[in-house]
Amino acid sequence: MQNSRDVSGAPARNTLLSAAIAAALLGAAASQAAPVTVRGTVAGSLFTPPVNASNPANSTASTTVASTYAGAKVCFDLNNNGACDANEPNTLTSATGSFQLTSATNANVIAEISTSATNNGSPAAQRLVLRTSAAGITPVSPLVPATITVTPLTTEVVRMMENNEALGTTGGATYANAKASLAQRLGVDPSVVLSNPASVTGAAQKAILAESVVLTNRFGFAAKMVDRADPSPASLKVNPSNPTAIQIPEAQQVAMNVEGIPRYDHIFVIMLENKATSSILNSPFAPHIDAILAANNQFTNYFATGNPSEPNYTALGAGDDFGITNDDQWNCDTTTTVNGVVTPTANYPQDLPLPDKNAPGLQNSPFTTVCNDTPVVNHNIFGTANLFNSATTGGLAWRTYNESMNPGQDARTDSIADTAVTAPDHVYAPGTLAGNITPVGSPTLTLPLPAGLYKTKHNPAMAYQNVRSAPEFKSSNRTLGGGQWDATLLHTSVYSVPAGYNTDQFGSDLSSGDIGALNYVIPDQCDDMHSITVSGTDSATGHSATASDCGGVGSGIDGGNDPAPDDKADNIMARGDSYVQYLVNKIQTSAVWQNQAKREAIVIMFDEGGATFNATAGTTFDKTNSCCGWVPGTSSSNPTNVHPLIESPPGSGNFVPDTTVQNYGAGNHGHGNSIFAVLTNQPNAPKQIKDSDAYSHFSFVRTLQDMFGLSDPEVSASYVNRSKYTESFIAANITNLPEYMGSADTHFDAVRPMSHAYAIASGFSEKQSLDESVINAGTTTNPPGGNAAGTVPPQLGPDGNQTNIWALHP
Amino acid sequence: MIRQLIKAAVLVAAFAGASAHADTFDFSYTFNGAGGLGGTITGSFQGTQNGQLVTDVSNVSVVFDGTAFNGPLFSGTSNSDGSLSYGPSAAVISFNASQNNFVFADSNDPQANGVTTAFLFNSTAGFTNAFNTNLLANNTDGDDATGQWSLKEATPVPVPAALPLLASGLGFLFAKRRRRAA
Repeated sequence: MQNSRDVSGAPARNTLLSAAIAAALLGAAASQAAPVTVRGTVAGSLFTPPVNASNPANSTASTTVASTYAGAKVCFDLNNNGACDANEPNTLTSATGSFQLTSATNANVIAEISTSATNNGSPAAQRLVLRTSAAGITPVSPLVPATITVTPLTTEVVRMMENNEALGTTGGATYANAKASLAQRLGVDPSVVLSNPASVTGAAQKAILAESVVLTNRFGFAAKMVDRADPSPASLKVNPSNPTAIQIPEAQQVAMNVEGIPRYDHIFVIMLENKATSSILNSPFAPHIDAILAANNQFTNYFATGNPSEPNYTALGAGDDFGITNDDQWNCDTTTTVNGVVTPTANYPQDLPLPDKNAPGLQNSPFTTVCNDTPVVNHNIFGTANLFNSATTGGLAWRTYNESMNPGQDARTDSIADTAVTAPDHVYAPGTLAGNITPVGSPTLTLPLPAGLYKTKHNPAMAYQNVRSAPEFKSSNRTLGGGQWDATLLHTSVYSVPAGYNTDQFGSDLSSGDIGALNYVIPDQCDDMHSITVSGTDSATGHSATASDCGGVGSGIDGGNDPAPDDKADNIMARGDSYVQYLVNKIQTSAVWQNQAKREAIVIMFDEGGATFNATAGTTFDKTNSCCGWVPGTSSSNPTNVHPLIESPPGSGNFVPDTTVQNYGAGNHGHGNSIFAVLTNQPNAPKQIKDSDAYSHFSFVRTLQDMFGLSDPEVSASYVNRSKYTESFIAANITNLPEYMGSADTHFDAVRPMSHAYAIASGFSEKQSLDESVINAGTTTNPPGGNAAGTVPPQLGPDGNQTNIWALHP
Repeated sequence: MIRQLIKAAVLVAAFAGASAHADTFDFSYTFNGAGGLGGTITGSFQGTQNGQLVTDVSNVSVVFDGTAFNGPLFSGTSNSDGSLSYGPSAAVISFNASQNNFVFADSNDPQANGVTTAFLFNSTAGFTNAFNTNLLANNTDGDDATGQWSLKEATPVPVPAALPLLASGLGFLFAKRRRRAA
């Protein structure tokens, strides 16, 4: 008698019973020498990237689903090198991602996922190695498998243990603590954080999948470093001339610390307007900012890249101003009119629906299509890589939070005046405004909502057609509360208020955690120190009057340098200073910030300083107005042979001039020094660190790409636009970069991450923009407590220490 | 008539052969390969067949992907409470695999201490596993009990107790044929 049975169709049933057996044996003291058997699944996420086209009709949002990897090689990594070596017990995962494996000794279990493996049936997008900790395996018996999972999150726990990270817990980076810390960071229960994502539901699954996507990219980058045999950083320290190749465990640490910039969960970039460093430091009108600078970290030699606002915000979105030198709206000159016939140009916006003054609700919009610059420069940037598309492609969200928008307005238009929305003037009692001895402001002055509190020129995402066309664009531009007119904004008479309109989505998002990885926080033009004309009628006098603290024009020599320190140009600085404090308090008291397992940072910065760039060619004025990826020289000379570089063909590493950008040489000339403060929520992070190396908006854009794991330092093209202009890149492409051919200081002219890696030479006096060192020197008096312009002394020699301002711990 | 008598004799002999006593059985299990490397375990044991089941398992031998394990192997089973039981009556092996619950291991410790070689098949819990940790990498495999299982008697020869009965039947038939011929 014989029988033969193919049991392949039998369901893999009674997993629970298997687990029960395992659990029952848990208490039994298995010998350390006994073999270990594990069974489980290699799981993760299948991320379908967005399509970021310049036409909304061709754009699609990203999707993410739980997934399993089939055909992955799983092994006990006995020597912990992150690779399945020949002598290590190994197997392959099934079509469902399952595996079973026995080893004579316990060790981390890893899964080598090659591109021949599949992720939910599709070829794996990139090679990566996932790991799970031996400490997470409870050896039951070689005959009773322990159930485990191998996922990006189990890998992160291993990485955290190896890097001694377990914030929010006590007792060190044990397996349990690292797991608890990761769960706390994601806001999910520790019992599910390392589960197969398919077995988790609801908000917990969403959080796990979002993290899985980010980690998959980071660990994919780690595998890439290993595959190309990048030198081991640890080995480089020991043997700089002959380092060993990096292995997975170290590479996974490097992938979380690209160019020395650690991964942060969220960054809030508070944007202020038009003040030079010397205007803020020690000013009686900026006590809060000065206190923040004193208590936290500061980049002391940070340069704008253009003038006026729009080129700077454009540069903050994608590391280039594309030759823009004024504030014309993004859709200007996108049509031509010949004999009365209007014809779209190549730059005609393809936004759907396009904001139109004739469309319902936009009749009063200041939407204009006329460019004022001569010669014409394109303000609608097509097909260009930028931070926002890069973020969504990396599975990350972005936001701009904008104050004092009209409820119901299109974010692609400036806000408009509304007489139905009013607010009382701000009144400052004696002693509350830089030591004022008389009240400032009128309690009987009522101010209708002025036009232009929200300006598209101050939105870093606005210039980019492929960002405006992205499915998430509308929902990513949100409201910011705390404005003077918030209380009556919903009384608007100019637009229909959408149902459920929230005038402070920022506050709500801080509570719910629905914030972006990258958040530009953009006060209105009264709270950002910019200033606009705000006037109303004073009921006491019956006369027209202007607001107490939103008048004047920020000159860059306000504050303590101003001979009349209580005029309205100074008052707006005090107003902006108070608003910064409001925002910082709001962020720092949020649950997001208080959760120290999350890494949160606030940047307080200005779009530009006060130094002008349009001085006579060849004078010293033009040599220190910016740095780091700028175009040295003068805008007046507008060199026509300066062009942006694009990789051609894509992926080749070969860069050629893009001659399609009109009048490109007019831009990127800089506008001087300004304040750049960094605050973090990390309890062990260094504080009161100053980094005096020269940085620019391009440096910051590069830093953000590193921070969010969006780029590869070995691949220049992975950095957007001029943020790729490192010293080595400039040297390699010097024949196509005529603006750098005469560079006498390649360090100053080149872009680098803001990681404090460079030690300024002993005896070297730092370069300052002219508003710090020349322009205003000796032109004003020095009021008590304030710097005279030009009296911020340049730093001599290296910084006191070389600590990285973004570091998470000493 | 003669055909009926032959059938009767064979049935009697077969009935006697199916009675409870030790036989030698050959088995093989090929892992499904989808969740591992697709190795094959072969071997033999002595046991007592009772319908679909074989129990009283002893004298186990196992070959891992063509490599014989040299040494005594203990047979046993994993219990629903998670413990392991060893002994001649512990292992349960079925022809159709559905009731398989057996362990062949080179240690009979209830906690499997000291085990370096084993083959386990637990249909109830839904997994199989084979390993020889002395041979490491490619000599371990496991799946969800979804591979190819085969079990058969090693030598389907009638047992001695059935032979006299068969001989007498055949003798009777021979005598009857001679009388008719005469």
